[in-house]
Amino acid sequence: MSTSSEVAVVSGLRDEQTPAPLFAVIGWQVLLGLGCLYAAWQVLQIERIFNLGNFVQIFVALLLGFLGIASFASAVMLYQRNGNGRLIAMGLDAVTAIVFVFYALQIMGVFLGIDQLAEGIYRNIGWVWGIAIGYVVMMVGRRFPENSRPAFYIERLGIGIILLSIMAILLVPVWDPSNPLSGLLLTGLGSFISNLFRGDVLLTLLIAVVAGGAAYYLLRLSVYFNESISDRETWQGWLFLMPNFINFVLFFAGPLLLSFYLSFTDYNPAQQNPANFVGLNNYVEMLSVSLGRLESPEQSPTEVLATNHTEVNRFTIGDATYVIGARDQLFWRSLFNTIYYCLWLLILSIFPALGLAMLLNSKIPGMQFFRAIFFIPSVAAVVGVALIWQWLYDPTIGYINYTITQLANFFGFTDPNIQWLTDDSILMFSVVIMAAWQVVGFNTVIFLAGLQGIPKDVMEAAYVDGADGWTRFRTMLLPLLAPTTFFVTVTTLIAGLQAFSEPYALIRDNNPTLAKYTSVYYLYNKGFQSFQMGYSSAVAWAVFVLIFIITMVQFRLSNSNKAYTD
Amino acid sequence: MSRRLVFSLFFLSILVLSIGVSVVGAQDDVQLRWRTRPDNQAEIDLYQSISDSVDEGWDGVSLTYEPGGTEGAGYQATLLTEFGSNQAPDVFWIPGTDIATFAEAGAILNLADIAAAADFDVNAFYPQQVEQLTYNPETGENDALWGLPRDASAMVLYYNADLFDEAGIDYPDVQAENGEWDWEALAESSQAISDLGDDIYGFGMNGWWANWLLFINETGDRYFNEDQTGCGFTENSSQAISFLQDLYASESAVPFGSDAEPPFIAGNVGMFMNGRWATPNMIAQADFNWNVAEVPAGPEGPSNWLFWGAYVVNANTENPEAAFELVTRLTSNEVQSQVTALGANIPSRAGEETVNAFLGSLTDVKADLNNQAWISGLDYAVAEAPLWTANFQDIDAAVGALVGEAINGEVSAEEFPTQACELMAPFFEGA
Repeated sequence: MSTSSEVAVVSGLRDEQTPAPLFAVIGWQVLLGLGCLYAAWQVLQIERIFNLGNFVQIFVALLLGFLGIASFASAVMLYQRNGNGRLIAMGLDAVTAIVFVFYALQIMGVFLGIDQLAEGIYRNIGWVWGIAIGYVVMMVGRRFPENSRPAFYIERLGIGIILLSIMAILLVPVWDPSNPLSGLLLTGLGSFISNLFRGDVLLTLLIAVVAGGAAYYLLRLSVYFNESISDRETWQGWLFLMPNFINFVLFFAGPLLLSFYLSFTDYNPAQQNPANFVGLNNYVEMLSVSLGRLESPEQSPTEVLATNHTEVNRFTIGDATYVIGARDQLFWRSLFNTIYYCLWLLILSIFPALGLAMLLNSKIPGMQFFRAIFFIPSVAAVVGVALIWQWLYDPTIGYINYTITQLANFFGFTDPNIQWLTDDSILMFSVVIMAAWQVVGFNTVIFLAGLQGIPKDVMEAAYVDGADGWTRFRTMLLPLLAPTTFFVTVTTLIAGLQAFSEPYALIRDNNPTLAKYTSVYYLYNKGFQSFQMGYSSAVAWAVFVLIFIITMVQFRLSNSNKAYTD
Repeated sequence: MSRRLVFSLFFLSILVLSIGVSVVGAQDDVQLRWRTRPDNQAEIDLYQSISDSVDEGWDGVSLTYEPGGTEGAGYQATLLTEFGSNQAPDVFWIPGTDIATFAEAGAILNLADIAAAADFDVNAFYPQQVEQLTYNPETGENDALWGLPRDASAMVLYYNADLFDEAGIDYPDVQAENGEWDWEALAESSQAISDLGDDIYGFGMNGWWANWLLFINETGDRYFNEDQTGCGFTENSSQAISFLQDLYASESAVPFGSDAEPPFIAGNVGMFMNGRWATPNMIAQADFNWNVAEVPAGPEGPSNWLFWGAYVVNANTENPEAAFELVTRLTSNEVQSQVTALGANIPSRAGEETVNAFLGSLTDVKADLNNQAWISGLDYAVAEAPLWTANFQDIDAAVGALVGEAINGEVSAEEFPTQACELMAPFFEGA
């Protein structure tokens, strides 16, 4: 129900006859609907959409069919002067215009052209120095008093150098040094214009213009359709939301749903035939486990396990030795490794981070410097960090073992000669140390922010009341830091469960051990080394479910302690 | 205001260019994109110049070379992603072991008919490679052609001559000339060098399959049986595992699984087994006297690996004939000689011209480099083979881990063949 002030907006055209252009728009909506239905029919007729399988084909056809029907409905509603029809038509037309503009750019090769642009600039890279020099000159000009003559002239000199450099990048021949017209700008514009007049490009742009024009025309008919202020705010809100919404659908929800679908297929990106729907097979293979009792520890596990199951682990109860087997032992091993990794990562990155944050929270000269130093590992590239740690861990020439050897010689204990990256029992711990070293700086900053948010008067009151340092830490600081601790724990845990680059970069193929696999490393191998992208997607969803459950439990525990919400 | 103007102009230029240059190169020529995996910038530059020169001398065809892979995505990940979106290049390089996976997926063309029509002779390449590249899983005969080999490589032992001198023992190539270079000699040399100091090792090799499997090959066994339907390990393999167990238990070898190259380059390892690809780095970094020798012979004589990768043609290419022509040009004597000159590869063409080019390679920077060791190794080398009946990566992940356990003594040498075959069985049954 609109208010009187809202109604005031919509006077004037209310009692007018249907404007003639609206009939054209209604005709366009019918045409668009037919186009969508035809496209849906064509999608069903083509042999395949890439190699993703029939489901995707049917889904796309249904989506197009739905849009077609929506367009028909909007035409009818427009004719009936229904405001909702206007909103539907505006939405469809806006999306159509955007899609066709992007399609036109695609068939013109614009997106691939960005590579060529980069290559062109790279070939003329020397002129980029001119931009830097011009910028420096401008900065020099700004050192002079504002509005003074030197400032005026030097600043403009800088601008001139920058503009000349840009012009040089654009105009100096790139593709063919002997041809003065082969600069980026002229070649690009020439190609652009020649492509613009291709039949398919013109047709695509025409559809985009018509759709855009229809949307714009409907936009202006607010009075005719009795649009209230709240209606206007609604569609404007959706309009503002649209860029993010499109981004969400295309790059988040879409791939997420696609991977969920692929987890039920035998999808291999390289295969020519469409992926087959295999139901729950991937999940069954992944989760299938069996238990057997060995007559003796020497007995072959395959004799007591289910067919095609291999040993994951064994344990003894009394005199009996049991063996756990799985169809995909690597999945379970990687899962176990991941949990091990997470637990140690939490311990090694949270407690030190809290301690460091308390140290860095003190008012000592130069503390800003140390804050920056501790944060640096968090922004360093994992591959670079891993190379350094590979060297540190090297049992022969690494500094860590060298230091231990020196200490062993000095204190007289036996040199353990730790094989950091080859001993299965310690390998994952070595990865954790490197990862914790990287994460601890970030966690420290979060804790530091939490500490600085604690009211000083509360702590001072506790001090005045006679609480000693440990009591204040235990009964005041920790509870007040609980929301921060919760945040740090959740983010570290999620990062840990998704661990990939650390073991991948640190160990890679040098060591064939299974101890190096985390779940994500394993699914990467399945997808990109074994080409089993369907199975890999199933593993990804299993990891997602695990992360989801653990996070939910954490939230529940946190809520029950009133830590986060308070 | 002026800054705003400058940046506005700059971004406007970017916008115009991103639209404008998009279609540069859109000509009437046949457009071919090709890709190979280079190891460093020098190789990228060389392949680019090869592409440019082939392009220049080939009317009606326009080439685009892509090095493939980025910092964020490896070569194979990029390639697979592009296959998923139907954007893979017309011609690309893949490792020899991946031929089966790509061919069975229908991702690469069988070029046999095109090669026959072009009267192309594949016998110019090493016969071991040709045998693998022409295998047709449908007929069981060698009547297909999945591509042409880009290059070859083989294992050698890089040795630290200074450490051998210090230990007072003959260099491996001298021992080989005397017919004494076998496992026993390797173990003795390794121990003698290791005795020089606590931080010195006699021998080192990396953990991936070609290293440990080479020793098994020298017992007469193979990874898989002849028709690739199951495990190829017999009790013979136990000899290799037993030898490696003793070698590593003596602590004269760099612990199995760790990268042995850095300590070798640091001068702490007497012998390091690796392929030709390691040579440029060795020349650049090792500041001691070193050279290479053939790998020692096992109970059934010497063995080696003929590593290879191939240029293949995308099944979805619009220009299969031109793509095959590009493959032949990229594997010509001239191109292979240019690539060989960089030092990381051995030509896949076995003719005199390319072999001589290889024998002379890198001798300008290391005059005494024993290039003959690789060529000799190729004579008795076994080509790495695509596995047509199961997924090699899956099997290797499982068996490789078992090998690590066996070499470290957690699994006995006698039990190894049985356990390895039990591990492999489900992969063949499930395939």
